[in-house]
Amino acid sequence: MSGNYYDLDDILADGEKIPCRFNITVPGLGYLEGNPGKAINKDSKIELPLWLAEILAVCVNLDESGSSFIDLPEPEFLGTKVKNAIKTSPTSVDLHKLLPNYYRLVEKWCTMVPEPELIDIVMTMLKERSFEISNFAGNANKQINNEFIYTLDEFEKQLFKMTSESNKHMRKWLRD
Amino acid sequence: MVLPSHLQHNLMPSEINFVAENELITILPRYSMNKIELIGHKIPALRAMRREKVPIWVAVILKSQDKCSIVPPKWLNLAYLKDKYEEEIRKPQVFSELPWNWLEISKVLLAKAADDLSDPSHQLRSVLQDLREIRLVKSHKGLRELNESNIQLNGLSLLEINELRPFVLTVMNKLRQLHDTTTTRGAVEAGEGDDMDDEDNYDDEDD
Amino acid sequence: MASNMDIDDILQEFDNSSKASLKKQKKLSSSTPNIYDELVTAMLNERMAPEILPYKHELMTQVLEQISNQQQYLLDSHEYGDLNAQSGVVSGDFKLQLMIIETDVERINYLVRLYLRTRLSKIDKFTIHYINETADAEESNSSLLSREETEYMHQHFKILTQLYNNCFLKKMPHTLTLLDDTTGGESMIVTPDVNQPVFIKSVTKAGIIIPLGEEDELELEENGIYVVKYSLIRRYIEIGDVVLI
Repeated sequence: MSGNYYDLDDILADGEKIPCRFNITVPGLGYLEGNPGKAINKDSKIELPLWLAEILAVCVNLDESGSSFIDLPEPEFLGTKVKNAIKTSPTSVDLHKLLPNYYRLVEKWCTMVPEPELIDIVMTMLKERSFEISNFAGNANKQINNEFIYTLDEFEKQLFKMTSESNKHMRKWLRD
Repeated sequence: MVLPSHLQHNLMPSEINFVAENELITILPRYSMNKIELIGHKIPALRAMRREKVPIWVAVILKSQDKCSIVPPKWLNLAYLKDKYEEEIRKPQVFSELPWNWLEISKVLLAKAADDLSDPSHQLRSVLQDLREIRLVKSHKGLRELNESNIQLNGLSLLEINELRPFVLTVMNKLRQLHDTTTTRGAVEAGEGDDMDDEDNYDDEDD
Repeated sequence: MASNMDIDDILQEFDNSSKASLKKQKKLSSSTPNIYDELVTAMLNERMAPEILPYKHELMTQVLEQISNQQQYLLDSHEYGDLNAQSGVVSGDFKLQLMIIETDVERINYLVRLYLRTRLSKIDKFTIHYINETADAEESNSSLLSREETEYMHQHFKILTQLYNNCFLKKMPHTLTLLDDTTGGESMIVTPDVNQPVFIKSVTKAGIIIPLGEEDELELEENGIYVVKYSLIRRYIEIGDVVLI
């Protein structure tokens, strides 16, 4: 993925916390779950920011069976419940509430853990929702069902903004 | 900033308008005038009542000085445009063929040479607007068909494409990024062609 | 006396002198029908391409030379006009012609500025990347950047690092002061994303076939408009078979 080092949304997405399960006991790491000075035990579940989880998940523990430091259980925002909600009605899911950088997180997650089925669902959702966004951007004056606008994730907001801008420029040119 | 961010990877309608003003158009001079050598274009000597082709922006200057009248392009009249409108309705799946710069050219001629057009301006304006709107609805419907790889968009003019551009490219780019996670990671990285092995460090010590 | 000369003779003279310089230019541009259109294409390609395109050395030399020729012509003509203002030999037509030439110069000037500003904005955005790219390809005529652009790029980088240094880098441990670190799977160097989709128009009669993935391919018809990944068509831009729109 060609990320941009200075991209703020990317940095924010990297800070998003995801559930992790430790495969080994690590002495002194207890402060991660609020027990400073103690060890973090094998099988304990805590949430870590994505950037840290990614490194721990790919680093292979050389001493033992070649397993990684942590396992990544499926986070809630990718779970069956959410998937079903998306499949049922892509435009009524509150993506922003789910995760402000939803698409980016999905991208990052699937780069670590390939999930073609999930990508399929998310791509269909993006097509449906962006089509809706284009409709809204086209009728900037009419405020029909504007609740949808509040459910947009950051990428979608950006999309909405640039689409309305473009329509606005065109309308202005036609009027002048 | 060297180039404001809203101008990067996008054009303003006024810029497209500027480019369209270079299109040639036929004029009917009223007086004679010596030829002019412009950069990239030669304007021949003009003789009264002998048709010549000149760039639109030159035609507009000459017209404003009453030196010529402008011969409207063959598509800029009610009959032709109404035909096109009928065609748009008859064929909901395709765009009727209009010039690459139909919106810009009709706009400039309506503003600067309305008396040279064969039909009343308000009627022309109205059919042009109908055409624009029906095509807009069509192109919006087409936005459902976006995918991660490629689309073909024949029949739209540059200005119409430009209006859709931010939306189309942003959505397709996101679809592409999502889709790329399903292809093997190695292939994605290799596609970038970056020189990751470049050892040159641009450290700032000696500055 | 000069004022006895017919205005047409004078114009003829101007014609001849500008013809002489035009002949010179024609030799240069015999293969290129219209440098104006070429400049528009170059500007649009540059504007829509995610990466910086090779600098149009030859075209820009021609354009800049013609601009200065026309400006000289305008200067001479205005001088002539001022000298003869009282005698009333300067006709309205002559002034109108000068006005058209002036407008033409302004218009082409605007295109040149758009072209260069677009390039500078990419140099700003991808400074370190292009410093690396151009590190070993100095001073060649087909080089990516013009001499002025190369100079601008290095100056820009110098000012930027100085600013960063003064603001915060000097307070950080040395290992954290790199601006081009690429370790740990994270590159600090911002590079253009050549897989971005772009709008293109195919302008060649010979159909272009571009591969899409393993099996698929796409044939580009003449005058067809498509959206495709930039990386798939970048080589056709260079030879002019495809234009970005």
